Amino acid sequence: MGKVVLEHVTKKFGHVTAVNDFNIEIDDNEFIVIVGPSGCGKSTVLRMIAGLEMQTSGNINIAGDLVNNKPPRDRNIAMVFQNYALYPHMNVYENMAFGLSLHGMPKDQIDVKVKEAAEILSINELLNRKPKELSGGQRQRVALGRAIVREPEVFLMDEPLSNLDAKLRVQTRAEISKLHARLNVTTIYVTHDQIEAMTMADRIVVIKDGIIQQVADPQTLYDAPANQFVAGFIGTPPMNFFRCHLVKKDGTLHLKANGIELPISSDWMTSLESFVDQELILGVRPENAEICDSATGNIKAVVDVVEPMGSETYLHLNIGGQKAIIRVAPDCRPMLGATVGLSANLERIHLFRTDTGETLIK
Amino acid sequence: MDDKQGLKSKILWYLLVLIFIMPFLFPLVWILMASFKTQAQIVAMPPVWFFTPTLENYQKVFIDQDFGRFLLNSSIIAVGSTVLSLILGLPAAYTISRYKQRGLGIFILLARLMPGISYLIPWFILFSKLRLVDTYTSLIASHMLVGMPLIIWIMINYFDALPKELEEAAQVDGCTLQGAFFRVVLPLSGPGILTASTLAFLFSWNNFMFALVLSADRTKTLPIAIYSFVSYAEVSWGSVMAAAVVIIAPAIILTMVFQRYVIKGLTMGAVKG
Repeated sequence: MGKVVLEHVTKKFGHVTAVNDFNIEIDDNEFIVIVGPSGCGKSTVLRMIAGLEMQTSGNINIAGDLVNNKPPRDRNIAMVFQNYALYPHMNVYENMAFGLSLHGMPKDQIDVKVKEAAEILSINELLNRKPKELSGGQRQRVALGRAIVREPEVFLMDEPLSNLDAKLRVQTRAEISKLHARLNVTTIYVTHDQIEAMTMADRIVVIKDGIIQQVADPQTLYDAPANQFVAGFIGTPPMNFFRCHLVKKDGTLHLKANGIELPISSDWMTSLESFVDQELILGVRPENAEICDSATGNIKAVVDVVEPMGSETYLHLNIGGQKAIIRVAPDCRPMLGATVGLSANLERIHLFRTDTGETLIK
Repeated sequence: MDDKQGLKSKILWYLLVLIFIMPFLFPLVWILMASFKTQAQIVAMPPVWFFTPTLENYQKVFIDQDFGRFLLNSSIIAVGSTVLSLILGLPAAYTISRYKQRGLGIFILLARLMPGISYLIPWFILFSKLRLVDTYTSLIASHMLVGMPLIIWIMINYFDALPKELEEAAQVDGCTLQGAFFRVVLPLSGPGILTASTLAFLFSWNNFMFALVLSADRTKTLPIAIYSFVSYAEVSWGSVMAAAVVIIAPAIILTMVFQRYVIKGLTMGAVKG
């Protein structure tokens, strides 16, 4: 049904390559989130699937149909835009009915569908209002309503939550997830917010500079990032990175930097042998290091800032000139400027190449 | 104390306003008054401020001079050139705005910036050869030269300010590009279209030079008709003033009714928001 396949899709704007050799197979009913920093080409991918932007090369298949040269209206998709793009001169009902009447559906059938969709989104009270009389959250619902009423093969959503305030965003996020579970329609969702990606996606596509960095389910992306970019992009606070030297001492490998001396498990001996005496990037997630006595820890740090969040506390640390944030228990309140020891969970550290950023061990 | 001061500054403010609008308003008031005076009252010195109004001048204008026909001519030409300019100008402006055809836009503006008089001789020769002198066609076409660039340039700004996503949403919903233009873009462009067409209409309505060369008896417009009241023997001031009121009235009414839109339309795009 709503399977979407992109093969070697490339988009160039003049000399700038916005999307480079993009390949992905999105399954029927899957919820895919494309995530990346602004300007990475994620919206361009979505717009190419919608037919609003023509790819420079490559193929796009929607529901088994090659749609390369088809205009948006022939692709059986519905799209939710960042600024909602509701037609200001039509009321909510007309906004939702517009697409159906364009496809020649009889009026009584349109009426049934619009009211059904309005029911699902609890906007039946708003049907006679104009978009300007609605709040941001209500507009968002109408935009969603306009999409679901069409019963398309694929939903495309372009940062639909970014104009909402924080509280409403969390609420709407859950509603979109629920909606997807209920309607079971392939959904391609673009965002720069990794939390949205983590919470909603079946699979996440991380893009940087128009190139796919990794495609995986949220947990895999978090636990086993393919490179330093993905590791740093997914997770809040982000993963801490330290420049270290890999040294061999008494037959075992160690990572050394100012304030850091970390033994490396012998399991990785063979894969890391060729990097001895080279600089590597050590990655430690904020929750994968614990505060301990400065004498016993494998990392020595000076406390810069203590941020109590209620349920947990973030410590901003200075480790031999390199900055780091770790997550500790809420009652852990070391003195500012105090030297503390950290013991990093050696099972959960990450190592990346300095030149390519590629993951060496996960 | 405060109230007194407030009153004083208010009076001062209105006095200033009066001083500023006097030079613009006085001729209008004078024209209006003179149109209801007799020739003797008009030329009387010192001016007569209080008099029994007479409709004689209007009678002369409409019955003796067949001013109704000139009014009709002016209306046909102004409405015709405005409507045709809209039909051609709106899609042109949309295309220039959406496909960033600024070069084309500047070319159109250039045609507008050329002094109108430089077109007149070539036009006269061209229209003579085509036997189009003294026809609505030639006058409408000539007025479109000014009306259309005006419409295009006002509407480019207007279309630039409309979010592109609206048309994209319409396309995703099932519209063709043209469908999105007619169903979504045009209905949202009312104020802009109103501004542009008001200005184009007023230009055509007030135009003297093009009509002087390209019209004759059949298509004489109001400004030319007034001109014919001025003869070597005498100037029939009463008739001229009555005719002037007939010309000015639609322009003023139109501007008053649409002034809110006209100002909004002209500043559109200046502050995108």
